[in-house]
Amino acid sequence: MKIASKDATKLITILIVSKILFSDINIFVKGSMSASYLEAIMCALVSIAFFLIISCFFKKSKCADIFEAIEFSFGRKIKIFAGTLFLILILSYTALILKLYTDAILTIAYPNSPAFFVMFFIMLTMVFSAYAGIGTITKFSSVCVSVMLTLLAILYILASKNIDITNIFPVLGNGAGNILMGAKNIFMYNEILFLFFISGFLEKREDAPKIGLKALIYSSVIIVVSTLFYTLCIPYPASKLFNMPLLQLASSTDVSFFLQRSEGIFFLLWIFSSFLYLGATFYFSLYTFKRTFDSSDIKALIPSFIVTVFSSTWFFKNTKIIENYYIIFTSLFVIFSFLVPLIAYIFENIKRRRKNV
Amino acid sequence: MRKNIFLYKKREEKVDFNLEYDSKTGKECEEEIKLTKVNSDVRLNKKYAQNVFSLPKNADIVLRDFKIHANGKEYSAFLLACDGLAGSDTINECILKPFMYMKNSHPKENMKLEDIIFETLLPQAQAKKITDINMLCELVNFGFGAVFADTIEVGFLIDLKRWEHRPVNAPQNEKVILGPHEGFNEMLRTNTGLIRKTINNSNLIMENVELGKKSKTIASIAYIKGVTNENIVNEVKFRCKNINADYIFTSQDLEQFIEDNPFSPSPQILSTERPDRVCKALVQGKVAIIVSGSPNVLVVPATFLDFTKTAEDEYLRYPYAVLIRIIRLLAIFLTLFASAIFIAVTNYHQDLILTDILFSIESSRKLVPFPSIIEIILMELAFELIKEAGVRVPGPIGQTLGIVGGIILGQAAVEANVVSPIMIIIVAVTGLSSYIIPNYSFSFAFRILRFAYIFGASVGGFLGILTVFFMHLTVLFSLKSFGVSYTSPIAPKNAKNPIVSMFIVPLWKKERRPEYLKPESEFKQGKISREWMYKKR
Repeated sequence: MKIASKDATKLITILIVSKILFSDINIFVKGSMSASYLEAIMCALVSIAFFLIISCFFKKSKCADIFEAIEFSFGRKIKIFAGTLFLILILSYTALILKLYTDAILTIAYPNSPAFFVMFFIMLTMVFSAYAGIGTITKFSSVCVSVMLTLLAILYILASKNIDITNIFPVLGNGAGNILMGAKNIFMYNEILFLFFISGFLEKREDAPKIGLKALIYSSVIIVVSTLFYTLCIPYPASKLFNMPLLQLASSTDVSFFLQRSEGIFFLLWIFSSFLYLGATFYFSLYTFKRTFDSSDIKALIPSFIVTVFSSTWFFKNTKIIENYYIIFTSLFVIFSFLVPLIAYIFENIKRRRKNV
Repeated sequence: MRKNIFLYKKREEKVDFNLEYDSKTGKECEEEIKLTKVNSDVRLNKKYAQNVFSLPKNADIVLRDFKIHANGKEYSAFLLACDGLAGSDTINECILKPFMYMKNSHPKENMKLEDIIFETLLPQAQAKKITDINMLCELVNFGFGAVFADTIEVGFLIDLKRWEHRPVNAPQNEKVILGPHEGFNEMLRTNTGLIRKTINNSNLIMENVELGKKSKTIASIAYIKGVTNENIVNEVKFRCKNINADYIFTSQDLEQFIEDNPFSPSPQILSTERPDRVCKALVQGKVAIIVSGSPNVLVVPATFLDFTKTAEDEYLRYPYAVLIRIIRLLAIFLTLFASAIFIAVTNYHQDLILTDILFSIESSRKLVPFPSIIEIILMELAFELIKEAGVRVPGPIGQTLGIVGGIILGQAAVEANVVSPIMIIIVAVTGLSSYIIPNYSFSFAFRILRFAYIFGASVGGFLGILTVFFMHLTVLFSLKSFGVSYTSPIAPKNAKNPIVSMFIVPLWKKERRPEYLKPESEFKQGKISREWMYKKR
C-alpha cells in the first residue's frame, strides 16, 4: 500500500495546522504582543532550517523509516528503549489531545453533555482509522484539507470586518528579543516526526524531504496568517485572555441573516481536525509498537490501546493540569521530532560511509 | 341412493408429498456419458446424443435421421437441433434439402465423404468440423445444428440460430433527451454489433468467455487494444474464468460473482443499457463485459464519480452540463444529509438556526407525540413503501397509486398529528433528490445509508452525523474496483485537477485518458482539438 506524495503532504500539513484550534496562537501573543505574527514567522523559519539540516542526512538514508535508522545506527536494544519511551509519550499525548478536543467540542456545541458522550464518538473514529490503516487516513486528509481550508477562509473573510490595523502596532511588540525567542516554540511543528514514520510507505521514497519541506511551508503560512488575523481582529491585551483564539474569532463573526450563532458551523473544523489528528496519532502509536517490537500485526492491540488512552484522560482533571502536561509533553516531543531523527540519520550516514570504506 | 349423514364414514386419507433425496446423484447422471470424440459408427453417436438429451423425453430437441448418397454408396446420418432456437426453415432449406436432393453437388471422384459434406453440401457461412462430441452437443443448446454421418470421425456444426427476441429499442432506464436512443437487447451479437459500429476500429477486441460450468453462457469481453491496460483485461478474464458456479444467466448474476466487495452498499461495477456509454468507457481505457441474454452491459473499473454521471452529460453544452451536475451533486448531498441535519438542528443545535424559524418548527410539532427521529423513520418508511408499490403495480395504476398514496398518507398523517408538516417537506425533498441519482444500484446505497445518518444525528447531532460520515468515507476509501481505488481521482489524487473531474470538463478539453486507469495510450486528442480556430481558410 503506497501513499502519494501530495496526500502525504496534506496529512502532515493538517496534523501541524490542527494546533491553531487550541491555545497555541496565544503563545505567540503572550510572547510578543502585537508582533505575534513575527514570532510565528521566526518559529517557522527555525523549524524549516532545522528540517533542512535533518533532510541533508535524511535524503541519503537508505532505511525505510526512523526505527530502521535507529536500529542500524545504535542497535536493536537502543531502538526498543527509544521506541518504548516514545510509545509512552505518544499514548499520553494522544490522551491529552483527546481531552483537549473533547473539552473544546463540549464548550462549543454540547455544553450540557457529559465528556464521555463526545469522547465516545472520537474514540470510535480512532478505532476505525486504526483498522482502516494509513492509506485511508491520508485519503481522508486530502478530502479534509479542502473542507478545512474553505472553512478557515470563510472564517477569515467574515472576521475581516473586525480588522483594525492599529492592533499590530507597535510593530516589534515588546521587543525584538521576544520575537527571536519565538524560536523556542519549535514544538508547533512536532508532527513533522510522522513524516519519518511514513517514509517507507511513500510511492517515491526520495520525495520525502520535499514532502516535509512543503508541509512545513504550507502549515507555517496557515499558522502565520491565522496569528496575523487574530492579532488584527482582537487587540492586545484582550487577545491573550482567550484559550481558543479561533473560536473567539468565530464568535465575532455575524451571519444573522442565515444563522443565529455562526461559531456553530465553524465547530466542524474542530470535529474534522479531531477525527484526523487523533486517528493519525492513534495509528502511529500502534505503528510505534509494531516497529519497536517487530510485531507482525497490530490490529489485536487496538482495543487495549484505546482503553489505555481513554483511561489516561482521567489524569487530566482540570485546565491547570492540562496546561502543565501539555508543556511537558510537547517539550519531550520536540526531542523525538527533531533531535532523534537528526542524530539517527547522522549516525546512519557515518556508519554507511565506514562500511563503504 | 341417499347419503345417511348419521352413519360414520371413515375419511379417505390424504397422501402428502414429502421431498426425499433422489436415488440418483448428479454425478451418476454424468457417468452415463462415455464418449469424448465423434465415433465413426453413427449409431454410437446417436445413442450418445439420445443419452445426453434424454431423448425421446426431451420434446424440443429434434433428432432427424436421413441418408447421404455419395460415391455410389449410401451413408446413414442424423441431424441434432433444438426446436425453438434453430429456425425450422433454415434446417429444411440449408441442411435437409441439400443432403437429400444433392442437386447442386458435383463432387469429384474419390473425394472423401467428409470433404463432400463440408465443401459441397453445407451452404452456411458459419460451419465447422468438430471432433469433440461434447462440444457439439453443448452448442445445440445455443441454437447450432450438429450433423453426424457414418464412417467419419467428425461432426459438423452449423449455425441455425433463429430464436425470437426483442428488437433494438430505446433503453428502458436510461432515457435521454439529446443523444442516441438505441439500447442493448438480449442478443449477444446484436449488442456487440452496436458497439462495433460505433467504435468502428479494428483494434476493438471482443474475446469470448463461457460463464457457468453447466449453463455455458457466452459473454464477450470488449476492450481496445493499445488503449486499455492489459492488466485490467487479464484480471477480468481471470475472474470470469474462475467462477465455480453451475449457472450464470445474466450480467447481474455475473456482477455479483466478480465484484470486489459484494457486501458494500456502493456498487463497484457500472451496469448500463446504452451502447454510446459503453463506447465512451472503452475509449477511456475501460473494459466492457457483454453477457448473452442480458440487456445490461458491465463496465469496469468503475469509480464513485462514474455513478454520478449520465450519458447526457456529454451531449449537453458545457454550461448546461455543469449546472445539471451541480444540481445532481446537491441532490446527492440532500438525499444523505437533509433528514439528518434537520434532526441534529432541532434536537441538539437549536442555537444555530434563526429564532423565528425555530419557533415555527416547534409550533408545528407541538401536538406531535413522537420524537422527531420516530417521525422521520415513519415517513421515510411510508415513502419507501409507496415507491416500491408504484414500481411493482403495473400500468397506470402504479403511477396513480404513487401520487394518491403520497397525498393521502401525507395529508392524513398531518391531520392526525402523527407527523408535522415540516417533516413531510423534508422527507419529500429527500425522496425527490434520491430520484435524481442516475444509477439505480447507486441510489440504493443512498437509500440505505440515509438511515445510518438519521440514526447518527439522533444519537449525537452534528458529531454523530460526522462520525457516520467518517466511517462511510473510510469504507469508500478502502473500496477498490478491479485494482482502481473507488474514490479516484479525488482520493488518491491522481488527476491534474480532481475538483474539475467532479464536474464536467468540456469535450474539446478532454485530452487525456483518466490517469487512474493507467492506459497504454495517455492522450486521446491533441492539446488543441479545435484546430479550425487556428488554421487559415
